[in-house]
Amino acid sequence: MSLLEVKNLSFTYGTGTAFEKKAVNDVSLSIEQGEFIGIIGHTGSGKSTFIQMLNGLIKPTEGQIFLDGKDIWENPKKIRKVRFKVGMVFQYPEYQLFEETVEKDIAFGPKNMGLKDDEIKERVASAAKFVDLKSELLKKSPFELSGGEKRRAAIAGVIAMDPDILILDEPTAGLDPRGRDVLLSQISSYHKSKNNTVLLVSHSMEDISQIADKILVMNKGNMFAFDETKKIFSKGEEIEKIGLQIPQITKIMIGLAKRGYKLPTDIYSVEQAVNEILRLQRV
Amino acid sequence: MEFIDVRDVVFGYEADEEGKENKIVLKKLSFSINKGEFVALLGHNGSGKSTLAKMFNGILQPDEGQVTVCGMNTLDEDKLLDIRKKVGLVLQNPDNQLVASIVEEDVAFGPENLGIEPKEIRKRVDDALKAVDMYEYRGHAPHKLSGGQKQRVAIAGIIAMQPDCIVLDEPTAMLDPQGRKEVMDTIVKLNKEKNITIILITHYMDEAALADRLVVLDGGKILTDGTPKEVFSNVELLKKHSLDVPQSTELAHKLSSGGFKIGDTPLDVEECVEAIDKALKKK
Repeated sequence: MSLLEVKNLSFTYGTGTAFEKKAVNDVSLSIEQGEFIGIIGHTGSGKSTFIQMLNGLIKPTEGQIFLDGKDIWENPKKIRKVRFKVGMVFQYPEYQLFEETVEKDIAFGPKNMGLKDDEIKERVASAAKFVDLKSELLKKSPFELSGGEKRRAAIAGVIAMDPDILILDEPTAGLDPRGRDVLLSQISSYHKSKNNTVLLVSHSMEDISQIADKILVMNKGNMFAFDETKKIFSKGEEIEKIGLQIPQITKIMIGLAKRGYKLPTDIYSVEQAVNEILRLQRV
Repeated sequence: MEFIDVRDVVFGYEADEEGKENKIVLKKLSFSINKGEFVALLGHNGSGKSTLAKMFNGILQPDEGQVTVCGMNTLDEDKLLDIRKKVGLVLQNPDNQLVASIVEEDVAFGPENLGIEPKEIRKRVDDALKAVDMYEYRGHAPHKLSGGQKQRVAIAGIIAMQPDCIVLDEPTAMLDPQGRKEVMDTIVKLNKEKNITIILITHYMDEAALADRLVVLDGGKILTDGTPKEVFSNVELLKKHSLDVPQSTELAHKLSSGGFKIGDTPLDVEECVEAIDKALKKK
């Protein structure tokens, strides 16, 4: 049994009005426990709508979502429980910080789950550690933190609920290259140590390719592709045709292959490309 | 005479109530910019680049040293209005810069405040919107535009004041790949066709590669200054200061250290494919 199974999922905004728009169209897929999934697509490709359905924030107009084999909308009154299991970090989550101290803000989720004080304390400490927030910052107001720290505090608030599935919507948007690398490696090590499931939405194929096991490509509401990272890149040119950017390095390999060199085109890291080209030179 | 001259500039933010020490952000910085140049300022968070951006039109003034625009000192309050007519500033978040409820009214805001004749304003607004390819949207509401479109409207608002120079502080950081491309195409066009001096602050190396000149800041000082080819060919130095280089450049660099010599430093995919092709044929 898959951890999360999505069957013929569709969502239409504004049904029956002049603004009717099908944002997600008949998507079916399953996600296993412990997988790291990258989700990529244009603005308007339906990826945000899709992930909002996964934790029951919006209800699909058609199709079903099974979490641990159970339809999440079977009993709509229990949908809140789903949100504890599927944690969602929105874009620019730092705008949602509101408590007096960072500590209280991170504790907000676990508190709402009805956990005991000791347990909450433990969870706040371990969540702060995952995102590398120093303990002296916990007593401060969230508004005294730097931009990068605020973002990490907001992510810690979701991690503290210890969700089975963590969904992050463009967590690195607006960060500088160093901040981006640090955050991505924190998410990756969180994933490894908890062995939970992570879904990460990004515009950057370069970022996603470095950490995801599998990639879901969305286009105009449809599932364009869902496969292992390496296999996705063998479709590099098709992905470019739907207007998504593939890493420069993949483009270079495609360019060289077109000139008749025997090189693989499913390459997405500089190291792989160096090895392949050096190998070719030695032949 | 240089168009903009930054001479021995020192700037620090004052200590806050909690008695943190004064933070010196710019440490005796000197360089100058010629008319019509397209300069990219690089550096990670805290390197002082956003502080520097605000110095060019006198929003911030140096504690020591001076900044002059066409010979006018930004410390001279009588000259500030003239300086701001010459140097316009575009910020990161498009939502924070639009003030009116109709696109063309927003663009007219600047020239209205300069006290320009209504007839002339009409002409300037139309020209500015055409220059950024947003003329068709002149009657639309800004909040219904995409991020890239909003940012182009913000740029039009600056162009309508007919400045000699536009400073852009990470204008694409919050945009998706499509929006980034629209904004970058607009910036390059303004520089090449209207000969407007561009100072672009960015984290994206592929954007920086489009400039005539790169100035890299680190710890409030200039780390290196030169053409993109000169700067990016120094991969070791940039990596040491945890800055990226374009993947094409990195690939060429790593191939060279692997004993596969590539002549010129490639900055983009085409140049890189060409260079590798040439080198492979030689052997």
